[in-house]
Amino acid sequence: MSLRLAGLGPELAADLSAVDSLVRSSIEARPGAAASAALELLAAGGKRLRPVLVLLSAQCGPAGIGGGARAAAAAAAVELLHMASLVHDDVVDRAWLRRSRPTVNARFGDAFAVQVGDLLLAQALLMLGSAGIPGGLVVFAEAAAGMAGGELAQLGGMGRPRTLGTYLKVIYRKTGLLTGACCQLGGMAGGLAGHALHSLAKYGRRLGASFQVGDDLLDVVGDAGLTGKVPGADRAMAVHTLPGLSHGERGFEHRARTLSALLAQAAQRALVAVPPSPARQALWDVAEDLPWRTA
Amino acid sequence: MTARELSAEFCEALVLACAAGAPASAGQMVRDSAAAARIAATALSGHAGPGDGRALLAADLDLAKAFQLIAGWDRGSVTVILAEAVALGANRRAGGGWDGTGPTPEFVAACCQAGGTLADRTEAECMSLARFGRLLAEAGGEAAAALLPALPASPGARLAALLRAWGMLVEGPRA
Repeated sequence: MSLRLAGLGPELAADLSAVDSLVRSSIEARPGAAASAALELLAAGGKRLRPVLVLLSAQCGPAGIGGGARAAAAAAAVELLHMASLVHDDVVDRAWLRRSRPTVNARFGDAFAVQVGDLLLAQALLMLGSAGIPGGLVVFAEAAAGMAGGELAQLGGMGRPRTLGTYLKVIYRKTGLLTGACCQLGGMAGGLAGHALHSLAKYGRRLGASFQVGDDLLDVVGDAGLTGKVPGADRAMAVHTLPGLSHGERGFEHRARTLSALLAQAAQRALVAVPPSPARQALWDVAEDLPWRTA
Repeated sequence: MTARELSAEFCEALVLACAAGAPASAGQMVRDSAAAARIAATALSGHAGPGDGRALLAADLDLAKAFQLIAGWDRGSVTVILAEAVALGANRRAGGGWDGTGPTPEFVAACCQAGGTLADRTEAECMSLARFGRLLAEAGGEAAAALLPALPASPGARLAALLRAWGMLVEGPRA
């Protein structure tokens, strides 16, 4: 099952297309070999989950057209940051396939890929700076630092046994902080504040953790034809994810999906403080589908 | 010290020198921005050299922390100046245009420009400070010293003292 992102309506599809254009033009503003590699990664597709979270979160707020423009820039910024992290993660993981195409490091070497990641990070910062969201850079920089810290913590735990508690802490940082920031930035762009904004961020963090459990499960049982990645990368790197650790035990897939579902349900509970709207329902639906995705 | 061996600490000192004349109320912002320049320069140096996955991620974390330091201040322009330099430097390194692990000319220029911005210098003054930084990285202290007389007085004097203190200028600035 895939996420219901494609069925979120023509308006959101148009907004997402505008975000893609922003990302593309941001990269094209830096002509060179690094930009070419980044553009290939962009063209390879991806779920665009993070920009969708920004856009839907913005639509939960009272802001009008101005909010949409700020949200589009924030959505482009988080996608650029996500792309930067993918390129660097592939260097760390020595991955050679991403979105069904050879990774940047596989094609051009590690040193080049590191620079591509840096270029994307810088463009992300510039894009968010242009969004004009007061306090937005703080949220963004915190998420970027948390994400890198989470990856580092995961690498630090390589080869060691992992408990559910430590696993959850790592995935909250490496994935949850950015998805939480997506919702927070979107909410800020849409004019939300206070409890509703806090709740959106909480939804995002929990949703990100649910997403990561699913991702780790797909690394064990996923079909490369659907995921676009070579399965078994975590095991090859001796990274002990929870689904990876219990691989081979009876019912391990069910347990992983149950954990992902529990986290997604916790995310949905956080939405209670957000004013009812079609966008809030769409966020609810994303969480509903997440534990059952196959790609 | 050759231009390619400029250190992260030197980048921090450049921001402080170029921010000479900033109001006292901006002191913490200036110090945070200078520290951010040092941390970012160290991280980018880590990205330029050989290293394993852990070193790459540690540098990623430091780079993010550098931007975290300055993101809280109202002067988003310093974030923009440094991010612009990171982008230009990445392009330059990816294209093989800078083989050193030290900061690129664009980054050194950005440190000087950021300092000027923090001191509320005019755009023209900030650009002249940036030109100084770029020449310093590309051609060394003696060559950059030729630009000192054209710089605003207080950062000019601080930069001249900085060059001497770091052994990059033996004879002093030409009049």
